[in-house]
Amino acid sequence: MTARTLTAQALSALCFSLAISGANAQTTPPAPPPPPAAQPPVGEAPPDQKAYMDVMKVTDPEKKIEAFEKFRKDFPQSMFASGVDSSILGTLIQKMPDQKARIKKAAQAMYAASTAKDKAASKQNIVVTMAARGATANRIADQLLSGGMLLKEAEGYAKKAVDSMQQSLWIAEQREAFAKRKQTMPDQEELVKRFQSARASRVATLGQVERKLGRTALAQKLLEESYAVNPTSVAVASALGELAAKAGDDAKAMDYLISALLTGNAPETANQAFDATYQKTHNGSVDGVEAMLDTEYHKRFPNPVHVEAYKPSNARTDRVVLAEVFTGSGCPPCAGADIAFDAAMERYGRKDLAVVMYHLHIPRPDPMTNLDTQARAKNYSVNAVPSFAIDGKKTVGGGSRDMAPGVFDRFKKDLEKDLETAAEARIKVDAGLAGGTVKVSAIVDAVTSESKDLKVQILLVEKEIRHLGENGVRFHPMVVRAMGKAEGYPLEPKGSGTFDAAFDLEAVSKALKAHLDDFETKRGAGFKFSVKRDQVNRADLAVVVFVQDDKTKHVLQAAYVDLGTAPGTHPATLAANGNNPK
Amino acid sequence: MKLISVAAIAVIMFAAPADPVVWKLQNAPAAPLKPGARFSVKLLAKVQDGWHLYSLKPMAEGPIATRIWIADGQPFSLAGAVQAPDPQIMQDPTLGMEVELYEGEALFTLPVKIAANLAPGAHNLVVSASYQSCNDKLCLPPKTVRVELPVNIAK
Repeated sequence: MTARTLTAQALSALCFSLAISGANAQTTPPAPPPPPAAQPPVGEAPPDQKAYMDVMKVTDPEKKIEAFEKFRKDFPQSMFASGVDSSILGTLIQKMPDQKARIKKAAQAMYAASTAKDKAASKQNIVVTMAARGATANRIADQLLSGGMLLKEAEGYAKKAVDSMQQSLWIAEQREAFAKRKQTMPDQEELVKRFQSARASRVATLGQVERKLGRTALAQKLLEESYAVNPTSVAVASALGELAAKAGDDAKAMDYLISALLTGNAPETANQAFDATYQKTHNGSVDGVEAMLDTEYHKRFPNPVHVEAYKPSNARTDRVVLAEVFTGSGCPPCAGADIAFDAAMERYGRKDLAVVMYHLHIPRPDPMTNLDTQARAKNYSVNAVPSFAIDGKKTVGGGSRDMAPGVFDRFKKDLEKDLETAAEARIKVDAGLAGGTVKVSAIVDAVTSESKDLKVQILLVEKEIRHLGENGVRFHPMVVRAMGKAEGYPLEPKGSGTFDAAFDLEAVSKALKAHLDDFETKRGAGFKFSVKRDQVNRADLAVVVFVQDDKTKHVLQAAYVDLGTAPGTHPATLAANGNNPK
Repeated sequence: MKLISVAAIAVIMFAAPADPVVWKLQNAPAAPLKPGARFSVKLLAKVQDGWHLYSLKPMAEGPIATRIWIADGQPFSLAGAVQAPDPQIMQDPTLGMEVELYEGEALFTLPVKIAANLAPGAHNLVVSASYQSCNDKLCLPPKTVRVELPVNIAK
């Protein structure tokens, strides 16, 4: 179940992670992607940040609370000071749970400070605000709930948090804030929608508290009310699933819990409830669980791009089009691009289209990233994900899952034009897996380009990796695991030659692991991947070879070779060139 | 002409912005300052529509916080905490949690100390800011920018 668990460690670690690499002046063009994020040099950190980091290192709870108090006194203007009350409350709840009176007092002080803040703000603002006390009440309720204590008090704060959400007031505050920030004002309908969503998350907190208090019917009502507004809320789906499981309604439990699990962000309690319910309904066995989740994933998230098989016209040439996609499993808008290319691979055969996916740690760590994919991103000057290139013609931008049809339409025209454009080189590939090594020999000739920047690239790809990333994409096709040479093999203008690469799969796995280990270390703050995708599935490999002008990125020709489904075999290894079905 | 316009709009929509957040230092001291003196500068972050800048405060299980600092190796240093405006607290649908962020404009105040032994003349104060952001179509890698402000030191 570990593989499905929330990457809480990853997200926690991000709190104190920041990037300083790739620094450039505001006026310079965008830099290539920087190496993994790192802490700024300690000497350069602002004094309040340094002091705050020192406080965070204190392990003794009493001393830590004292250090927090001192910090607030020393740095009253610091951004971190506003979180001191909450940090003290958290320390008390986690480390001194028996000191209930002190915890109550800390919560009261925290709420009183927010009330004072609202009063001060109301003097300056046009509207009388309740924003700080509402948010603080919700936070206190949440903290008490996490500690499983003082639930009556938690209920009181959660109710205050909900009561503070008054639509007309909230919208007036938003309008004032947007004007202050010189920001384009959303229309009334959008503001109402945002209000309802914000209120629903407060209602969810109250529902969770009622659940802990054992008021199941009320909890159910509140959580369902929240879920109706925010149906993508993982926390609420998890809670409703756990409630249904407890009530013995297995079908309903599975329905909610599967929804939560398929987001990639389900809490451990939801994972446990799912496991228990699955085993209960499968004679105590977990066999077939992943297959069932695969099926549910396809059922619940059908590809919104509807395609038909490509029918080549008489103008179809012998070109194999290459799609290079830069993506990240923790990148929400990459979902739209990933899914659009899933559809492309359904419409076009591998003799029409070869797709390669370069994974990157943007914005969050992606365990399918490796040094070669990072080098490739640098070579392509990728400065955002998703980015993709059809035969070297690069564009950027994806979107949510339902935006995939738009992404597909954006590249389809270029792709089909290229399918009717003559190849500018011929590639014949002999590739096979034997003794744990994939050996590739690519013969390149009939090159028409006189460019001095031609390179032959040889890529080892894994045809599908099941990995539920934070963006909810469960299947990752054509994941680049290694390149023969990250910088490519030089090819003379109008040249020809044979280019060999050998991928020792054990060495490839070691290199993948070494990169992920190194990333963890450099990221710091105890960051750990929840799962490392460093094991190469030797039964699911393919090789992609292409000839490219390294300067313009124009691709002259590509070839895709499927290495079959069983290790130790030597499958058909002739590339697609020249035998394209018409 | 219509086709050109459509193409131009498509390029604008899908081009990766060099900087969705434009940083600018304001409040250059009007008169020359003495070595060892303290002064304040304002750092303005102008965030493009559709993008956001996370607050300076680390959040439990949250995204990468924005950082503002004065790099070592210059005759200026931070004399205290960077003062930040109150961030917006919003629900992040991807993370399923409340996050603190800025949209539109955010003005930060930096208390700065001048090195006691700084020679008279014009010097550049360089402030670094690192941030990471996504909008609904793109995610940018973490990025650091440096912004400069001339400061005159008196004899």
